[in-house]
Amino acid sequence: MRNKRTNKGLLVLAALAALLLALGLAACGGDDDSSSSAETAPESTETGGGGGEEKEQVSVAMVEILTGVSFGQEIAEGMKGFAAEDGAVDLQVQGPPTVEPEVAQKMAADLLATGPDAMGVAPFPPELWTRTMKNITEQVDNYLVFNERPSSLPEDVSAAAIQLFVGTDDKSEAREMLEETIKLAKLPKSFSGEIILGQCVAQEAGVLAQRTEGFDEAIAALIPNAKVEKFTSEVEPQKNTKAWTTELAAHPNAEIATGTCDQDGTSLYKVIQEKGYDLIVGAMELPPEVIAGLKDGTIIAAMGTNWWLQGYTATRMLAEAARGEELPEGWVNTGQQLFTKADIAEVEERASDPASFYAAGVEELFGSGMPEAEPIENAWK
Amino acid sequence: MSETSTPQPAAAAPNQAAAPPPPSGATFGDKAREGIRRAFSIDELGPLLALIALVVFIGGFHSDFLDKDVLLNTVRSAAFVAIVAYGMVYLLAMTEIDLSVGGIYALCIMLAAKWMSSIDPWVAALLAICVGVALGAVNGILCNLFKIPVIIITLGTLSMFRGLVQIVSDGKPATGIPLDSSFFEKLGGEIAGVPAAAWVVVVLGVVLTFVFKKTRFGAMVRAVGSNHQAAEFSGIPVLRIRLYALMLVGGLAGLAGVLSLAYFQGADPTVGAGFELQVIAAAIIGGTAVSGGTGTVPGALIGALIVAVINSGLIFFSIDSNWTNFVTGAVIVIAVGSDALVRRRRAARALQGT
Repeated sequence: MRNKRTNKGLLVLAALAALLLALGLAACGGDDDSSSSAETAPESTETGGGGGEEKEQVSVAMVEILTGVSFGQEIAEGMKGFAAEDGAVDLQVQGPPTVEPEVAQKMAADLLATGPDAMGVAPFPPELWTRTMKNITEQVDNYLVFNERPSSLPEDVSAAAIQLFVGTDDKSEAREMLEETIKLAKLPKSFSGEIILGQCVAQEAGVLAQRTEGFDEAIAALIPNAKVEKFTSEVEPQKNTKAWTTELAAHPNAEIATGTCDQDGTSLYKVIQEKGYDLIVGAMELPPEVIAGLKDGTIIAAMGTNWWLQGYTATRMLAEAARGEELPEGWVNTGQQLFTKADIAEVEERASDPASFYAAGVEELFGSGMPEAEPIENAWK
Repeated sequence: MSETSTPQPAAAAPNQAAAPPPPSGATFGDKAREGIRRAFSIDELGPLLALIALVVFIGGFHSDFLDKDVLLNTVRSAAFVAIVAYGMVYLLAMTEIDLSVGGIYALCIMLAAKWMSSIDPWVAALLAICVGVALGAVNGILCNLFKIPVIIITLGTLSMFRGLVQIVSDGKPATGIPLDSSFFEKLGGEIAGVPAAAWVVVVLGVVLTFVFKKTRFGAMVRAVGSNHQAAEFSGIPVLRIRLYALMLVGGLAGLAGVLSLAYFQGADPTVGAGFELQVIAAAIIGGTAVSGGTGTVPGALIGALIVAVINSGLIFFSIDSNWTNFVTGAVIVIAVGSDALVRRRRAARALQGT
């Protein structure tokens, strides 16, 4: 009896191991998500975009902050969009499912070992990436950072190993969104009601801190007498929704609400639908719930960072640099766009066909060759 | 866990139930068979073979993986986890689990980084390790005071220590770290071409293996895990042993934190998220049973290396990183299941042999 149980157990374990192996081989042998390889035959000359010129096959490795949220996925889509368009880029996109800087850096180190021609990383938080960024500059000729600046503070950026940042102006986009929300709600300057600001990760420096500063500037400019309540709304979507449910219940007289992350917009929409709060809401990013909110008026304004364009731009710059073009130094601003109810059609095009939506943006950036870069210190203004 | 586990007879470790040595005059074949039997009785053999198989498999498809720098980098990334997993082996042998090691690790990193801006980095690092020991002592004192299992108390202290990280850091990354100090060059760099953290994990592994297997303290740890009541009746100061084990784990978490700070050269409030699960997984994958009474310190290093190698393998095979957690969990299930089956077989064979 005991032997039969042991044998059964061994069979179960063997089956589990075999299943694991099969899944793993299927994941890497099929059309996997983490890399795109150009399907060029050896003598292929037409690889798209180049008007008949043979493009040099190059390898580009990218490491994101995390891949388990929508902005990370949009960035990856932009990267793969470029690789598919170019046709001669061996692209590897990696990143931990959640925020794990040590894991992300291990991924970067492993990708470095594969000897890519170019590499891009999102160094969050920058303080932990000092050694890795230095290693990248020593082992790869072409590199940049995207999504996250190479240092948290502008006064430290000159010491950063990587001096090219592809990303957006988080402070100004947050300021623009909240200003538009306040204007559309027609709030007077004498407004003294309560405004709730959520920050999904409590930060004093970095992308989310920049957005919070932008909110502060908008409030100071347009409704300086408002009572501001800030709280940590959590990254994980379910926790974020619970946090907003509790916060709004604790502040039933709040009149305006917004948050720094896409989860905040999602949660606000869900909580308002469930509880029926009468709130003026603005949102950062455009998850499906925020789009629904724009349509039905729950959300007045939403700022959409050009994540797809950011991923596309970073990858294209690296691929072209690997083929001999010179990378600029500084900040390449891939921008953002504000959406209201009137822009629903554009919002839907952006979600369904980003390559078409961002075609004009691509032309603006690459129309004269490599994009121009502003002084990197401007990325904090 | 120690309150509810069924008392088990304080049995000899399974590898001691192997057949007696061959009599004098045994042939070469007898001695070879005996050697193979002893080899297969080693607790770490299974995980070691699995690790070798993984490295060979990945290296067979991607020769870059066998590059010296890649392998050393893998050892380094496993070292931070393995160092703390060594201490977790002691606790698991006592049928206890400390969930707060991630919080201790993060807090020691942040404190060391903060202090380094005003005192000598080496002194700051030493103080941070002492803080780790003190936090382990807090866990032990609370457990002994309220007489509840470590896992329950550390469920609370995990959040407390994580909260202290936020309070100490004020939500900001540490600044003013003197990166030109010899601390970062020596502990974060390489010694004779090998990462300093790798040297530390190997030397520490040898020391802690000796302590676990050959010292009175180690014997008492295992005795407590084998049969808590029998250990008490035989005069072993169970509560004090648990306290010392928790202080050991806390100190090792502090040491791992300091080494991590030396390598990454920075400290952020988000550091160490999920670290405790990696530590527990490493100890279990390496062959330490949760049923107590035994454990394998080298196995903890092998377990940490297995996880690190698998994570690297996913990169080299271009597999989506979303598979990481699933694969790690599956490896834990396979490791735990295999270990349970092997131990059951050994016990059955031992009973048949008596």
